[in-house]
Amino acid sequence: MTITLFLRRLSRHGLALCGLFILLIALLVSFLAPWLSPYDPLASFDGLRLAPPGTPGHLLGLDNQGRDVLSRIIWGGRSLLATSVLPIIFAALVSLALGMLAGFRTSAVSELIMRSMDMLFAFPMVLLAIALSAVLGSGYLTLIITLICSVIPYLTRVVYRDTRAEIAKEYVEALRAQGASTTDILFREILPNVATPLLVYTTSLLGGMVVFLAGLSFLGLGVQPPQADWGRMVGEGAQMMILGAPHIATAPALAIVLLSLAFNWLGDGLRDLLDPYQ
Amino acid sequence: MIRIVLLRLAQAVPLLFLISLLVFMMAKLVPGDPIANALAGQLSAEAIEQIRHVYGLDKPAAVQYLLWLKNLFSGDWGTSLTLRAPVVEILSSAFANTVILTGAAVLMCLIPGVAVGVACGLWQNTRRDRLVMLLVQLGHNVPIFWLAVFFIWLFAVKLRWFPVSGMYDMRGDRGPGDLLHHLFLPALSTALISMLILARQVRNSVIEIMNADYIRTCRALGYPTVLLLWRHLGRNLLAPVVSITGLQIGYLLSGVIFIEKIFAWPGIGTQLYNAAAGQDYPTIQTGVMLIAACFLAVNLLSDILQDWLDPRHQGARKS
Repeated sequence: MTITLFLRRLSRHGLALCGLFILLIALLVSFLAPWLSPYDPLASFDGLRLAPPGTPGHLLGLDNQGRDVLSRIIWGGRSLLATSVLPIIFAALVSLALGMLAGFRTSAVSELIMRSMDMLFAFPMVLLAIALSAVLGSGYLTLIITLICSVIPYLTRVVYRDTRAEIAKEYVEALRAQGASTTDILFREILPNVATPLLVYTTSLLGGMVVFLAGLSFLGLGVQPPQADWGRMVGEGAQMMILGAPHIATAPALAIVLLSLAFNWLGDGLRDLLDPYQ
Repeated sequence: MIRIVLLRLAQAVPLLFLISLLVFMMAKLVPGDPIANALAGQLSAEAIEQIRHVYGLDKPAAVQYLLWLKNLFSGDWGTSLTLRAPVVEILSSAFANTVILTGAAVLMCLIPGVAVGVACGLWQNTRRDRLVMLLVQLGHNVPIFWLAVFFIWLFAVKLRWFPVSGMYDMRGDRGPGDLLHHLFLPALSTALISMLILARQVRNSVIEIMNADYIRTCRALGYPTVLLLWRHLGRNLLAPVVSITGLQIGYLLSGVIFIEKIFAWPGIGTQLYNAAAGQDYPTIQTGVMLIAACFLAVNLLSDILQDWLDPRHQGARKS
């Protein structure tokens, strides 16, 4: 499929466009945070503690330490995007290699890979995050390792299944009969057929993972205060919500939901656009 | 049937060993060792060496692993480094509390989830069905931790129907009524999203079953609808419901760890969370093994139940 055809189809897919739009905004805002945010996310206005949304000069109000909520939201997406998008690309590449290796030929290695994936499946990832935070301390590294370990079993299984399915098809046999080398078959024929579903699945998976990562930060296993982070903000705002100031926790929660929805919509759209059998 | 159960068991046991290896290695990742890190500067090198000997930390890693495994099986789970109490005592009461919460959440997920799913499946594409499915899509992405806080704000602070947190009233009689009163909000927060997912999948199964040829034949033969639903839909629905519930219990167990923190529920998640903050490795390792074992047991049970309920499922492996 050519790029222009892809773009034309994309422009007709409302939800995918919507998702892409939200995602681009989130990326842009995070990138330009130092220029866009009206205040320093750490500066506090003592007289205006817990001021509600709509306070003059502070669109989304202020938190319990008198910090501007809007500025903190503008800054707070950075850690979430950095700990989700880049690591998941890495995880997808690892899964691509593992899944193709395991799916290409049945051997002791493929057995070992798939059984290890079963083990990761059987392991609740919140526990991994808690254990890692004890070992490595809370922070980016704990979040990133947890994310990678959470998604690799899902992605590898998809690649494995697709590789097995492709290998069994007639065209592979025909290529073999014509004398194509194993590397040619793997990288020229199987890879493109396996990579597309992987891309679709990874995008959809990111939606759930964004919420999960924010949850870890909420528990205090991720980004440390006073740095602004959406999950952390919900955590800090939780107490204030109970005391009657719901905006501090709700604004970042909405941001998390929007980002998660964006990835889901984009994933659905990519599936519709890239699936030739629809 | 017995052969299948044994086969499933044979697949689960090596997994458990792999997980135990992973859990053991995790503590070994720390640079140095916990004793030396905690006590360096306070005690002489000889004293630290002696403590290491008492804890068996001077032995090779493989020996330590086997010893740990042996103790784990014989119920000797060591002593908590922060609470100075046997891990068995700390974790067993916490585990019981977690089981109560998870059990309540499973019930709150299962009963309304199946009911809503069946109703939507039978009323497919009506306005009610679309409304529920929209809720499902939105609910899928709502962070469970925010939802819990929202419920506390709405039901506990504004409406004052339920207590804000904890498991029993400070001055209460610690009776079942008090427990249920405290249980409702955390169980609802844990269950709601899984319930929506269950409802959607049950709806899809219902639609699939109701469109099958044999249902059409039954209808053409004038079979009463009530009997049709009970005998044909109900039976065929059991296997997917068990399978989805098995998967959702896994999510619920993870969710419970979030929820326990928010509602200050004295369960295993709260204990683990405190243990992580205090670098209390014996508690973390045992707790993680305990939950991972439960996770595996639930999956095993749901696999076996599925085999039993739907013979077509037998032998079909997931990967």
